Amino acid sequence: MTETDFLFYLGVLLFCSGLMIVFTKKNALLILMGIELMLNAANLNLVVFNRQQTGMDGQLFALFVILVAVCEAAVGIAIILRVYHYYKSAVPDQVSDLKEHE
Amino acid sequence: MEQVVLYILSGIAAASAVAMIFVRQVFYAALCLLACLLALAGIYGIMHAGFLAITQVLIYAGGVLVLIVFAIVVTNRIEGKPLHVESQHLFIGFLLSAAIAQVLVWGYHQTGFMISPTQTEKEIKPLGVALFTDYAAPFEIGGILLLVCLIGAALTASSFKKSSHD
Repeated sequence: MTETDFLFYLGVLLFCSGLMIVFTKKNALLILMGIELMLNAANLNLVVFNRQQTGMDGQLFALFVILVAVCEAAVGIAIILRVYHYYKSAVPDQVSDLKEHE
Repeated sequence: MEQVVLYILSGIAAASAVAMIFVRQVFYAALCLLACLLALAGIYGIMHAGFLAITQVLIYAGGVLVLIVFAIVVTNRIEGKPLHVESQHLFIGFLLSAAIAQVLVWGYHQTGFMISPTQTEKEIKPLGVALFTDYAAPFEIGGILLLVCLIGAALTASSFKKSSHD
């Protein structure tokens, strides 16, 4: 098993852990963390495969992925805080009504 | 030597990612995510992506993780007890991730990516040059996106009710 194979399998493991966290956990913050983990797995693959070619495209792409992930985390946490103040709960299943109770 | 460090860092990243699934409290999950991100930064450093390693430490470990811990602290205050997380559909989730892992590994072996890595030293300078020549437009658009996101996040997190009274 070469180094590239090994790091590819590490990326697969990270991605599947993130997917499982997103699918099974009942807390919005943990779901956000799972998404971050999946984005990091993609970044790892971009960096590893960038070594096999001349040029910097993979690393630049990873940089832009980090940028968008930061935006997503900031907006996501703002929305979670807002929902928490209103519903007093961060469990997405309990956030089911769109309108205020009269 | 480099190989040994790489394997140790990969082990830390994999263990903390798997531990995030089984941990019961949100704060411990955040700590596991921090360990995973720092180990990945080390791997980037070994892979001759020094700028990405620094960015990972500064932005993820310094920015995103602080935001998440802040959100945990704030949501903890309202509920008044440590945040315990429950899991649901564990078996279906495991089946889904195993299936996707299978597809990913199969796709990897279908492509001819088995070349040995070229040992070219890729350091920070060509990345900076590319960022300001070929990738200047995405760079600027990314800056605007960041600005819009931060203003939007600040507006969303603050209460609008006060401003609507004015």
